[in-house]
Amino acid sequence: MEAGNAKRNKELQIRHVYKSFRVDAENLEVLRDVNLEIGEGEFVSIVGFSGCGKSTLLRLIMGLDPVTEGQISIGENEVKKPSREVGMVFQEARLFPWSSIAKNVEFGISDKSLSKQEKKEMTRKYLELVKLNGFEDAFPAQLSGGMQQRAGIARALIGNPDILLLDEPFGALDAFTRINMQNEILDIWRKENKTMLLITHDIDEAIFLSDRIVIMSERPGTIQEVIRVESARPRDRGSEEFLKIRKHILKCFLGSSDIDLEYYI
Amino acid sequence: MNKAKNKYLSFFQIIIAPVFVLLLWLAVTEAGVVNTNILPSPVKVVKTFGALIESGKLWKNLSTSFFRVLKGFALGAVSGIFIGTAMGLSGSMNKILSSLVGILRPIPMIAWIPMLILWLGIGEKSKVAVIFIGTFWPVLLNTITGILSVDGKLLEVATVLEKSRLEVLGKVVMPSATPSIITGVRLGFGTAWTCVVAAEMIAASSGIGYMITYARELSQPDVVLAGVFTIGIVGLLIDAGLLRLQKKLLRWNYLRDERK
Repeated sequence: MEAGNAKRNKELQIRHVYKSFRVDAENLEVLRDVNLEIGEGEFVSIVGFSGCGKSTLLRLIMGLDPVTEGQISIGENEVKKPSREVGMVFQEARLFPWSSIAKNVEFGISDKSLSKQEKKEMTRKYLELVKLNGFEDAFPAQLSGGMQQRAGIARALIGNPDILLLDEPFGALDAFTRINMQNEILDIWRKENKTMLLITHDIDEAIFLSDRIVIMSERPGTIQEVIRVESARPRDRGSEEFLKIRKHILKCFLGSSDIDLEYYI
Repeated sequence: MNKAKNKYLSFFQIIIAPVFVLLLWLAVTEAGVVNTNILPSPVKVVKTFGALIESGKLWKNLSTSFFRVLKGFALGAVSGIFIGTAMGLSGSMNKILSSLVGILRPIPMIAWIPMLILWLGIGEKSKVAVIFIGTFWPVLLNTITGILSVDGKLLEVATVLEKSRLEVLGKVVMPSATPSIITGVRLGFGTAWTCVVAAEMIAASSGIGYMITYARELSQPDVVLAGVFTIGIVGLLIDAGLLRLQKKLLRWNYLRDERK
């Protein structure tokens, strides 16, 4: 009973959310009537053109900006400001260049009741989770882009959020590192059992990782379609289902059906 | 081997210009091109320098000046960092003080000396006050710049993690502003050293600036030059020391250079 309650309490609900900005005395509508429910432990991706408002939506969920209309809540609680329930991984790792990797990861701990020793132990554990053990004392500038992003992920996870938001976290990485990181995040998702909401413009990434893919149209951003990916993980990027979904998503964006499927293998 | 070669080359490049000036100086004085009563030969200056050290005169004046600098510099740096941080953090504080800063800052510190002597007398206090003013401005301006240039994206990380204002100040704002603040402190020490000599030359009864002015009155150009070069060498040593300290404290800030 108790467990059931806890489960229901962590569901992310986005109901009739509108967001507009005032630009030069004109109203710019960025999001229009966005509705989405994400269950506990679910992996959902949002894909869309740049400027379709997906990052804005993430900022609203994070509580960094207020909604213009509608409601975003986690379980019973409406999101009004950043809270420990939601963690965020940014596109750039955003590490403090003056702190060691261990100190950067430790910065993610907001629980003040923990002792120094406990914090150290947690930091060690999460560095191990993202495979950065041995780099505790290195400065961010001494690490590659992929390793910096791992530290960013560890910092977001160490605070033990229920929901992890990922804002194009692998967008700045090269193709090989990106595929590597996708496997890693899948591994972390399995181990940590977090709800993950990923924003990406990489269609393959979305299909490879997600339970559901949300396709957003642009200006103003609305949810165009939600696609469920059923196949078991790890997914074969060349499988028929994978390519079928990929073709479908491309069709949504490019509005044409004569895309040569073979070309993309 | 290449590295050793480079080291010799860079040492050569560093000393070539001063050695050239020294040789030229030696040549014109030894050849009798210039009147040695106006420009004594470097050999004479070095001898005088030795004599000044031996008599303890140089050390006494130098240490007097140095302690004046330390006092004024400490006061100026601390208040510069303090007020600069307040101005950088609070927009209204910045607005309130910026017009005052705008009017006072362009005034050369030499212009303050007569006023300060009038207020504080000819002794220690007026000297320390001049040095204080000289140190204060570069530290203040660099502190404000440092605080204002904090990366908004890093601040957002702290916001997302629900950090308190105090924690944001201590763990994000101040570390990020430190390179700029230290640059301000280095510039401030340079100005402080200039200020003490200027203040002592206008009115004093001790110190390296006083030694130079007094020697001019007695028409001892060798003592004047020995004093002038002492100021230069001490200034160079202090800056080199501060630079080393800066690189040691802010190793992270030099990592990109190391990689190259």
